[in-house]
Amino acid sequence: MAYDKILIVDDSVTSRMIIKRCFHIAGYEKSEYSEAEDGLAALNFLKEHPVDLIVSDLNMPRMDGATFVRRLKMKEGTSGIPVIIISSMGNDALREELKETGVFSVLRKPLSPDKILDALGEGEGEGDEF
Amino acid sequence: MKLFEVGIGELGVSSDRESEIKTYALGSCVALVIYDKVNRIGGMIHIALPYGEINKEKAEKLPTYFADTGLPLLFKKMNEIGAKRSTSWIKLVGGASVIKSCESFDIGKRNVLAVRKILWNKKLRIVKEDVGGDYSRTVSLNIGDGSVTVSNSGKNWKI
Amino acid sequence: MHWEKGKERAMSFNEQSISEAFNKAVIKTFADMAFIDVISEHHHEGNISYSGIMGLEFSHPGRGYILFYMTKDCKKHLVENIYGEEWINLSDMEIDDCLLEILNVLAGEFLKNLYGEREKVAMSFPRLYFDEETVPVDPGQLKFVYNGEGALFFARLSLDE
Repeated sequence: MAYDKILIVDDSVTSRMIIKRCFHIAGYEKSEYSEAEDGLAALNFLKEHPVDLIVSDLNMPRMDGATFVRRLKMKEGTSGIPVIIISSMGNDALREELKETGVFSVLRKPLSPDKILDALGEGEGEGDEF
Repeated sequence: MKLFEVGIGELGVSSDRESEIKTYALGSCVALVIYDKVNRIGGMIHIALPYGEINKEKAEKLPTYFADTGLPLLFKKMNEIGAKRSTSWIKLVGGASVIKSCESFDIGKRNVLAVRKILWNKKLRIVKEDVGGDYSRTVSLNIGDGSVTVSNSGKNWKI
Repeated sequence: MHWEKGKERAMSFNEQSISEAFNKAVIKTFADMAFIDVISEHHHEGNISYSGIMGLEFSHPGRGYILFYMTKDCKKHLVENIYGEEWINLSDMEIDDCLLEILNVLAGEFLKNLYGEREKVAMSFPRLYFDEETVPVDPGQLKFVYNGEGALFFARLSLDE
């Protein structure tokens, strides 16, 4: 499946860079990426900009990932957007809890292209030269 | 079947579908294998050490001995022979811990990490790895069908 | 569980498992995120220089904190490998953020190694300590020394279950 517009939500600029690069390497080079530093900024962004996939951290200031997902699922325009949670605290316990809020997948940091592929399948690679 | 042998610190590329590229005795060394599955072009490099800065003279004379100076040359050769990045995959083999000593560091592990770092910077993915352990490996790439065979002590397996 | 100060005893199973969990987390995180081969230096004696301290607290399943002490060279190696950029091309914000993110991931890995995957984990945001006087000190802290491809650094861990 193609995810043309992907929103990355994480308070760490390094983590946002890593997530984006992992998606590139997994074949999602053609996607358009946007970034937000926490749930509140992401909700504001989504008012004007539809996306196909959200990748969010959990532990963020102002609005954490769990609250963000609950708010997303309450609104008609955003409730259907698939959400992947990526967290250093990602484990089975968290996965079970977040599944009920409608989260698509919970991945543990550090993220890798292989984890993205397991969750989403391969993107369409591009580029001719090594 | 033509056989192209790649020695330590060497690389080889081929678009001959009746050929095979092979390298032997990967102990702590690593072999990076690239294959364009649409155009049926393949390449392989046998890397001995991670970074050329530890021996600049050697890195100049034999850049393919080191991961950081060798991999760009393999990529260049693959581009020149007509391989396309979007239809190619990369596999990594080797990097065993063959010297048992807690005094010395693990060259095999460092070779693997160096290759992963370089590919991270190039935004390239390793689709399959057969690395680590404490045994030497031989690896071959069949240009006709892209199959990669690893062997050790008479046993063969595909990755 | 508390460590009892002053008692001569062989390392307990719990202390050993804590050390193993921590060492495994450090080695794996540095390799996975920054492609650096880290070796534990059990028997290191003497002082190791550092510039800046970073730390993180956790409160569940166990309660405690982790502190990291690194030299500028060590930090440079980490950050340059992750970003794929030279240090001078990165802002102070990116550099600090990168180091804190490594600590964040490492702490999560350590807690997973120790407690498994079945319990929820709670951690604070990682932070830099600009004033050493505010760094927590606990007589029961464990100290770990590492060699990251030639650069020595160390960590302190306090755990109270």
